[in-house]
Amino acid sequence: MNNTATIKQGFTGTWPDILTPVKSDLSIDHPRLESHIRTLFFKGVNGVVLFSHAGEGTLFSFTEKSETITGLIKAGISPDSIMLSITSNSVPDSVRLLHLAESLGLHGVLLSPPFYYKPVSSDGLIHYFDYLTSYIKSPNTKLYIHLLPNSTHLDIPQASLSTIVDRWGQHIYGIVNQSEQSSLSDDLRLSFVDKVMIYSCNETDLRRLSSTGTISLMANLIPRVINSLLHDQSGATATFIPGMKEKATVDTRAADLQMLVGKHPFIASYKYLLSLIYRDADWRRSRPPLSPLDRASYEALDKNFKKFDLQSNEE
Amino acid sequence: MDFQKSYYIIEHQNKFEIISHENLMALDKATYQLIQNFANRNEAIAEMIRLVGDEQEALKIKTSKS
Repeated sequence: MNNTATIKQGFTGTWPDILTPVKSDLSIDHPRLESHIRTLFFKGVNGVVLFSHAGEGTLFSFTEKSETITGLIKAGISPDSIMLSITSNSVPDSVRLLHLAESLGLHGVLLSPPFYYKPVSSDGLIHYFDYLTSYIKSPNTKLYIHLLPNSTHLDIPQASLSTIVDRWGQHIYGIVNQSEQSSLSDDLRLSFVDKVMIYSCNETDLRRLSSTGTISLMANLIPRVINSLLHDQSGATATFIPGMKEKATVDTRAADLQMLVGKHPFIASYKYLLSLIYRDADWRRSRPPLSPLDRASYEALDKNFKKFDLQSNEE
Repeated sequence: MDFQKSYYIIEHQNKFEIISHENLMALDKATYQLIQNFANRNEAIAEMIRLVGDEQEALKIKTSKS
């Protein structure tokens, strides 16, 4: 566990890694996105992360992101409950996104390294973060470093992370581990104890790590289960599932949902499951090169989701 | 976030309903399933039209097969 008494407090609670709905012309579907976010806030999430891993962030332009966030704020979503993911390959675009977040008063930015061609040296990675952070305008800007080694083959060696945290510690409020390796969160906690908060995106690790906050893909579907994983350290919260002899704990439900999606492409799968909850097939679209699932995958997900039997107190 | 003036679509007694925030708060949570929240009534109505249209289409397909 981090020594929370001595390090800066970053975000707390459930922050869904928001899925991005698109229209038939593949532009962002603003009304669907707004309604999805409003619904999640009603269900008790603490904030939202836009254009990150699940939000297909690399596939949308600066202008699309800027218009979307401005529109959401105009619609009543509080800026300090929005985190913007910076996943751009273009350094000037990354700087523009950073300045957008600062000018709109967003909670902070989730900063990934650029999706570079290999090989890149540790010095190169550090230079990228140095370059970007040198453009920070506000002393209050909060940065979270985003690690996604499994999905993108991007990795920031721990020595480089250490250098980045030491140089820009006043702005770095957390390291977010998106990898499925539980051991990486443990290693990071040991390495950065007393320095910076470590967050895991792996929902099945949250109780074990006594996490105070998470960026969660599952929270698009089961925000109340994720809230319980964060707030109920005893793990006693359980749901009655018709036909089951014993109540299912929140840990079991998160693990079951993870298993249900299994090896299917995760963005298309979660969009499909959300389309079932909202009874809205338009949620199944993604921007190329991502594509909807094939018929066999839909049928398998459909069957297993019925078996999962989502309860209204979990959504 | 302010929900006071917002509207919801819920599934209640086997049918979709549009309901204001005030009325939703008065409803027993165990008796309905929340579908989505909308900033105003017009947006909720537009979604309701889509939902009902989809249900009708699904029913047409089902009856034509039987």
